[in-house]
Amino acid sequence: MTVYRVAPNGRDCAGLSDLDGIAVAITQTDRMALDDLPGEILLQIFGAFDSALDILRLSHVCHRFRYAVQFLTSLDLDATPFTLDQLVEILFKFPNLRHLALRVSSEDAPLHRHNIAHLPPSLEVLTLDGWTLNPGFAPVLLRTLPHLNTLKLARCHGRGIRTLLFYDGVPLPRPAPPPGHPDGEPPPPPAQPPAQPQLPLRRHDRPAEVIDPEVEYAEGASSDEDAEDEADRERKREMDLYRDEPHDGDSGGEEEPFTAAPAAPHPPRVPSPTADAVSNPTQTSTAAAPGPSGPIAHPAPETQPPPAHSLPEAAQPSMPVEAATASEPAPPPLGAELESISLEDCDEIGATDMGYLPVLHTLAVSPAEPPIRPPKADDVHFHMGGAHQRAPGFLVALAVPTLRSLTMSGLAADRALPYDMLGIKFPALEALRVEGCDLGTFTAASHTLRELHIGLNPRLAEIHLRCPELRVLDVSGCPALPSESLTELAHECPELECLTARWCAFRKVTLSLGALRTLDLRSAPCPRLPRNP
Amino acid sequence: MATPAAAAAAPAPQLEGDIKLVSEDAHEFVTPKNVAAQCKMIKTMLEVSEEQEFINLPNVKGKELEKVIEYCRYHVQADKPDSGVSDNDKKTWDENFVKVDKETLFNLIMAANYLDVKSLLDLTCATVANMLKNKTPEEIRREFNIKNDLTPEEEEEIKRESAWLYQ
Repeated sequence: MTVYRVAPNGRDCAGLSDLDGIAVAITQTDRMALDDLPGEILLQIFGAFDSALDILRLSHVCHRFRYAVQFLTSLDLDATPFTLDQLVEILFKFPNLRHLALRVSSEDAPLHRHNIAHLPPSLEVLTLDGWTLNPGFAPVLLRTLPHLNTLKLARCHGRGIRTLLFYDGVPLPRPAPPPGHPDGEPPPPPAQPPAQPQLPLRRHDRPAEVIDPEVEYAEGASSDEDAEDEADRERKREMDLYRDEPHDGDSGGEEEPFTAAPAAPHPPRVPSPTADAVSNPTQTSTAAAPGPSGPIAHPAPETQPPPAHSLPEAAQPSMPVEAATASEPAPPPLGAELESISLEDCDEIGATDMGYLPVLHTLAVSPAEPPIRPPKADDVHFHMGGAHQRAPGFLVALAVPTLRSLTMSGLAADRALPYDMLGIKFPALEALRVEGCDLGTFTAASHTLRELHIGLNPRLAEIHLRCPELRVLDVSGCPALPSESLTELAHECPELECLTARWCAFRKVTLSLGALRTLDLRSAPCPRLPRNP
Repeated sequence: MATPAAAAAAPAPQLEGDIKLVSEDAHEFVTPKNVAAQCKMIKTMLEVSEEQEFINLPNVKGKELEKVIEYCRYHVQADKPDSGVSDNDKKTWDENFVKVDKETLFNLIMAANYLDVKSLLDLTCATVANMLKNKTPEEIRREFNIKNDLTPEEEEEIKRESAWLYQ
């Protein structure tokens, strides 16, 4: 048997230099040990763990393992058995995390904003499952995680709040003045939040109308305006709670005392291993380990004014923020890289100000389970699943100018979005899924919508679309839909290319859709969905 | 740039005939090209030159190459839509496949990595991860022949910081 090594110690040559892609000869030994495997293989093995506890134990085996653990980029952690101190300590071991899922199964697991401030700033995808979110959660999260791209909240609920606040009142950065801007000229106007799409008149914008808020609140939000008012109240309420929340280290209110040692921030991302690291991983490991390199850059929302857009005009701040920003560079906008938000089974929380997130393009709201199971064979009978059939109250007032993809599944029809205002609330929307929402009528008007999935709505009897760019339409599982509705589509959606209408009770369909390329009217079970047991 | 869907729709080149794979220790294995092409590295070489009759694999020993070919052959058959092999059957087969000694398992990982067989690499890495679960560092060192290069001071610090980890 050929036995060769490219270095006297297999550990040195088959080791960490692989981590950053540097090719080294594969060491073949007649008696290979686990730590002889290349670094990339070690990371793959570590990545196959489903318990952070085991990974931490591994990091105590030898220097090489200890060093390799720092390169893990993905961690799915059941946080239930850990105290908050332990959780922070665990997260400190993984400074290069890009994907993190923190799951808890306890009834009440509050996630405070000073806990959030200890999350690794390298995170790009964060999943929080089962947590109780406190006021001020979202702004602190977005300030702590500047690279956050995707936020998934599952089975989360709010303590004392019903709306998340994605905007904390810090003005967005202004464009620099043009070159040659003369000194002494009046300063440019104060920075304004991004332009919101035009919304319907709010009740408090109307003159000479007396409203009893108590009565209105008791009656519930039955229209857009009511819902917006309610959302405004929620927003103000959360902002008040947000301001009242104790500072880090405080233990007032309902906050759990936080006694974790971390007086140091997460270290910056560990640099790629160098030749020194290969020859002396111990030294590099020590250098890269978290250390007290400075104070934690905690966000300071307490000193910031409440969001301007949530206050009455008379209460707009008289520009103390402007004075502060004159001497310091403007902070980046919250959620500058946040592109996707997913709310799964979070029927108690919502947000109305996602429109301030500059690059948000995907929003998905769904119950925990598929809302409706597909029919059995040709039997057009639908089973409403265990969906909550409730929707966060924020939906009516939601407006996101950058949104391109929106999923609303399993939500009650009376709390769903006013889809006839799609073009106003979501002027860039290209794909919409509203499956299993128990809708009776669906009306949509959008010049940008290209893909619409409105299937699995057993009561849906009317569709009115004014979507000239619509290419894909799926109305499968809508047995109450008359065939005339499809005929009308020819006028409203001239560019329609793909029409799917499975499990519908059409007797005769007359279509004159010039651009249509794909038509699927079968009633057999759809292979993409799980069958009804 | 082609979209993923377009790429998936592109017809895959038909690989017909056999190819001879030669291991580091000069063992020769004649295998159908479509089986060998489960290894991305070999597939790339075949796409560059379909006419070649043998491929030298200097980093894989005969024992492991035989196992890799066995894995690829099974999955080529089992993954066919009309094979009638259930996912559970495949899982059971995979579990039995990786019941080997540690040295073979590590060499199999290296071979899967070199030949670029992702599913086999995932399987073998997950197997090692399972072997490491719920073990103390000392148990891991003993079982996997790992030298403890931590200083006593470092070990003491670890124990002090993470006492809760071993409770």
